[in-house]
Amino acid sequence: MKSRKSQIAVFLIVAVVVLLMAVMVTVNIGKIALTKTRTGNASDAGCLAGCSIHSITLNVIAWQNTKMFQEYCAELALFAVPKTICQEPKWRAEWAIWDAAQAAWYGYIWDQIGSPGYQAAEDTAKQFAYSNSGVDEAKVRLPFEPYLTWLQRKSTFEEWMDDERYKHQGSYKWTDTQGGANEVDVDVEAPHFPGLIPEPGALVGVYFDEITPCVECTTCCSVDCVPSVTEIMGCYNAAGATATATPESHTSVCKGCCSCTANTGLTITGGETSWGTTIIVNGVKFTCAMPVWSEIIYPCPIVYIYDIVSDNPEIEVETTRIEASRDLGLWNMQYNASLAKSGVTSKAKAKTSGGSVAGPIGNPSYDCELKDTDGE
Amino acid sequence: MFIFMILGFICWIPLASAAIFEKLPIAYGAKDVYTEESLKNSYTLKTTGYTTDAKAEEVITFYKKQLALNNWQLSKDSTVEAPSQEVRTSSYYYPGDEERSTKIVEENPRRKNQPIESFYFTKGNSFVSLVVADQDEKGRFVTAIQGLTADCKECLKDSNVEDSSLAKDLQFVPRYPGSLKVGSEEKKNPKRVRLTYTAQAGIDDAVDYFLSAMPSFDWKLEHKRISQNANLIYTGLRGRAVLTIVNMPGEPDKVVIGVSYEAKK
Repeated sequence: MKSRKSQIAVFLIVAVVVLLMAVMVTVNIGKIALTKTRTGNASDAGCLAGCSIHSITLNVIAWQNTKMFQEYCAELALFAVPKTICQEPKWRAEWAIWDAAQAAWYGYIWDQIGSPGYQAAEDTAKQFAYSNSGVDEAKVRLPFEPYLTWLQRKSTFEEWMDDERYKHQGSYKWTDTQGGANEVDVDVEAPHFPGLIPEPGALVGVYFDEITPCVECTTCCSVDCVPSVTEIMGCYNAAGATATATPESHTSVCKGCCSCTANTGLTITGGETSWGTTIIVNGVKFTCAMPVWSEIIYPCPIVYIYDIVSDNPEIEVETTRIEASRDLGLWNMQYNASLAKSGVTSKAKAKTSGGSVAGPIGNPSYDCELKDTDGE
Repeated sequence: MFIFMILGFICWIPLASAAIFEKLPIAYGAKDVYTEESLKNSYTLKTTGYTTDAKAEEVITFYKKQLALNNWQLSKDSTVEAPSQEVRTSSYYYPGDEERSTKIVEENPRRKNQPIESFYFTKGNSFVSLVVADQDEKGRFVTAIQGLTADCKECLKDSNVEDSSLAKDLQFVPRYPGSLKVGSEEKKNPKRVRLTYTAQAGIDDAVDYFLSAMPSFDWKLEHKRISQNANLIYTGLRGRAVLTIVNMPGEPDKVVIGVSYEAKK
């Protein structure tokens, strides 16, 4: 019988080596998988956070737009309250200042809500991506540094984040305790604020000119007398008299508003008797003492936001992690050649949708959804 | 006895406000109803606004019937046609701001020439001004302003006479010398006051005056924008003040000065 001593030793050695190699491969693949998960989490968190800021910005704009329209309707209702034409200059001043205020409101929404909101979306995406990228930089304890001080001291990465350097620097690099170079790159593609489209409108001032008794204005106003005088002539003509006048535009009768009747040479003839603006027709004393309405349209270039130039913004975040190689003596733990050069990358895209800025009644229901994620 | 008097006064405060205005009807299906009370120019106002899916004609008929039942008289109705522009710009528009250029010009196929109708009802010295804005598939936007007139007899015929029913000047904001107060608006919660003045001056004169006078009232200039119009934004311990100075339309030697103040929360 042949001796079989030592045969098991050879087998065991081979088995242990194979097992060791398998463990190392498993650890290496696991590490790549962990890195992949971290970059994936970073991209997802970044684009969802950025997208949330887009939604909030658009919802605020939609809400502001509704408020702008409410303000317009309230002003419209107030201008529609009839006033004596002598008061027109005061309401012209009201229109001028209201118009400027509405335009300033529009500018505020563009400059103070829209543009910074979109910029904040991009910055927030970067912030969340870096924060979730699993930067495992060691915080080295300084010589003679008390433990509590070391614990409370911020790491280099924390300081980098607090200083908001992530907004301008495209990557964070650090060296691990064994001198290996590590890096996280975050690339965010987000649109700039596309701009708003204004809706023009008008305020309609309603004024009345009591023909008799007349309220004589002492100051100039810009009500056009033509409609008033035409209406009053129609009233007298319908009563059986003959009314004549030479109504002119307001620029030439800018002497007093009620004097629409006086300044345009209104004369009443006919009937049985007539004096001034009173006539007697068939024995009945007749005076057209009704209010004569005048409407003045005050144009306003911006009354509210018609729409946003481009809706439903998308934000894409790409996170890349490059890790240092590990030489364990038996196995050089690293990615393959292409990965070692470009690192592990994950992309994610999120889109804002569901609401509407478009006026006059905006719909502040914007929300986010993760569109797609991929990696390599 | 004294306690009962205090309790009576406390109970009277909300009732006093409610007693001024009648409860106005609201059309069916009203959503996003808001109300606001304010003093504007010579009016005490209660504004009610809401959206509804009811058709514009239904809303108008509803109000005509309901208000007539409560003895309101329809005095005036009018229609504002929306501008029928087909092309619009998306440029940043700010009056007199020439620094920003037009960005795009957009065809606007969705634009519909939808009118805004307004109605004016009276009862005694009270009025209701109703605006119904038809916004097609988005429904109707209804705004009803109920007001009381406190007309100043002299102001009726002279626009150069200051209306005593306007809000008082703000003691902590300087008034441009020789200016005439022509409008005001006061709101509570948050406290906001807007005053409008006219003055025989140029925009530069008024701006220079406020730039030199405001600091002595403890206001700090936060933002200044001056072109054809001027906007000066000030902050201080009392809150925020925005001064808007624009040319008076039709009167080149006159300016309109708007003082908008919001108290610190």
